[in-house]
Amino acid sequence: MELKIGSQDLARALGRSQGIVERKSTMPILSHVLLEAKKGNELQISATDLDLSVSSTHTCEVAKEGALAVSAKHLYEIVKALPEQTVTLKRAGNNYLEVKSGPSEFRIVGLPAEDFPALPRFEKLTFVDIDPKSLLDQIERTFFAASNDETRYNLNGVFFEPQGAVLRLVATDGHRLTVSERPLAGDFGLKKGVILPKKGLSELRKLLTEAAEVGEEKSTSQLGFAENSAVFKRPGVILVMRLIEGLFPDYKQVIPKQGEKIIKLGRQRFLETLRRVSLLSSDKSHAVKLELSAGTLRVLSQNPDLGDAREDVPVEYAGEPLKIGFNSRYLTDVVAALKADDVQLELADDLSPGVLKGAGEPDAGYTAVVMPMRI
Amino acid sequence: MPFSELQAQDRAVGALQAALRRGRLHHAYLLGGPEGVGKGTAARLLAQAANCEGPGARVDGLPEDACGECAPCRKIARGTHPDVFLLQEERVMAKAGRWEPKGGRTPSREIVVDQVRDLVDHRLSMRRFEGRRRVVVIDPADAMNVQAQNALLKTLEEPPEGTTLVLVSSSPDALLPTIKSRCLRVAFAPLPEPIILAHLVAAGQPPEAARLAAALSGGSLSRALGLDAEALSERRAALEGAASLTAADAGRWVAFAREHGDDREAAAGLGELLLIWWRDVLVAQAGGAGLALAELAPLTRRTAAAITPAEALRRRGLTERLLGALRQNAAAPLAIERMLIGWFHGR
Repeated sequence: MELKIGSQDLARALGRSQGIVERKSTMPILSHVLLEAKKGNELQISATDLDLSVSSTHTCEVAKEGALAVSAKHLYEIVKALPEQTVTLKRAGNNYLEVKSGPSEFRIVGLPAEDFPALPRFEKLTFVDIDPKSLLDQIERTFFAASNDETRYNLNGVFFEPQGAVLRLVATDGHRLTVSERPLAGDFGLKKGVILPKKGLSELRKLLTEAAEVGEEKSTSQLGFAENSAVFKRPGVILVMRLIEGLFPDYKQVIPKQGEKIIKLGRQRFLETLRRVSLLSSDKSHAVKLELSAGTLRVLSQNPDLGDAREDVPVEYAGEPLKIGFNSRYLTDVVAALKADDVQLELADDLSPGVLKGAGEPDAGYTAVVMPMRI
Repeated sequence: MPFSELQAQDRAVGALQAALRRGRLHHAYLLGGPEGVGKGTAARLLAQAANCEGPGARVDGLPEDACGECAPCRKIARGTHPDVFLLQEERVMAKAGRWEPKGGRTPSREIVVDQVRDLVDHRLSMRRFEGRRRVVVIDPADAMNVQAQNALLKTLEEPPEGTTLVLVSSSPDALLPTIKSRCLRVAFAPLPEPIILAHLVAAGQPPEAARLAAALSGGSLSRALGLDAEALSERRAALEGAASLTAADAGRWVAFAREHGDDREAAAGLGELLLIWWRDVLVAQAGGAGLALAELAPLTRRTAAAITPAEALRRRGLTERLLGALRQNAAAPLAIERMLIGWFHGR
């Protein structure tokens, strides 16, 4: 392997991999990046922690093809500090990497490229063009409901369930559930839904945000699924994340049929009220009580150590009165994720789950279910 | 490096290869048998064969054997395959830089519950990375403490799809019954003396020392290789001493315990030899030939005639307890003394 590349380009490329490589690694190879000099004057840089892999392609002058894995951190630090605009990377005997730039020369101990975990082959995958903004929106509106409890790993991610021309994303932690549906321009060829890990989704969000900012053509961002992983492609970047093992719970059972009591209220006002009133709710449960009567929703919180708070919110409602408790965090997360001017809250009784929806076009296809608390 | 590198384990290897041939690996294996007879190697070979991409690859089922040449085979041999995990004692893994104890604790000499949880919650919660079959090797499985074993139960019963757990243990009966009942047991036999002898001679040991080492190894190649000539004759003498102690002379037990309790390693070595010797006693009582410690045959037969098989088993159990106590930092002289009191005064 021998190639010549701009120092800054290389530093930027390596910078991206820094977040991926494991610091405290169980396998030494995972703290390395794989450098591959390919035909067509391309340098491919790959980093992986096994759960998440990122490869990026960069233009350079390839004198000799080949590949080598070297310590990600050290190469990055060296390249950042180089004196000249260009740098030559050359593989020397015994897996050493020679880095030359003007007067400075480095020799870094590397590992053979074969030791680097093989990224899934995706030449044969079916990729579907996606709209970065739309997918980003779907992820951001479901993501927060995924569980952080490591022992329930099948909930530590977002369930992707493509059904016909619809892509459905579902996340739950057992106390709340979010579902987002959007039209999809293609078929992933998945037999059943898959669970994408939170860590991978955070990285995917970064890439989608970049894509949305650049305002790229719609067809340049693509998503596909291999047997065990999800693959996202943008020009020059490929992100591969390992799917979570296990079954996603049958979430459809959790979503109540249309509730009897349908309340409509201003989103912004409701959000502010919840934030204000929850200031005095207990640190652990964040409980707030909702007292519903015709035309008014009273939001209360009570904490024996601190005191109590209440606020009345005008609502569109004319049915029976109802008292119900919720974790205010769960409500604010959802209300903040909505975009329409009005929120629609559906309730049945004080022990049945509440359903939150946006009352308007920007929130079409989005539903959140929040379990009540006994207070 | 194919299965043929394992010698004299035809039955165990046959069972594993038959499963490979059918393409139906069990989800949990327990490879049991004396130390140093190839259990760990067999576990590695199983992982290699299940993931081999060499010429042996078949359409229906898995390759029966590993080629040792293809990328997965080499990765597994070097320990860099992302779908093959080796779980060892915390101390060993920490030293190799593959594990960091939580909260800066001193690494334990057991396999602790944190390690098992990390395996179950992190490593097995994701789908496979590149391999055809994920293999988890736990070696030695009896190093898992009770909490760790309990944390493994659910996974052991029903591992994620395409995953095989291989427990390797030289004292499989020390595992919880709930663990044992969830595994398919594959028994490894002690190696025949001539094979060990041939290995030792090939490794350049003088024939006379090699013969003694082979005899004292109890069918374990690793133990035979670890014994140097001097330590060997010392241990043999110690064993002979212990075997010829009698109930009548308590003063000699105490002296014996003090003499051999100085050096933990030596005490543990003696304990292991004693286990082999008690096995010999039982073999002699059952009328079998083929004593592992042929040199001590007269003494063995005398003991065999003097006590009942139940008593021999009981004394063997006490010897196992000695080894357990030594692993857990007991004072060696006291532990030996306790074993001897148990031998002669226990009920």
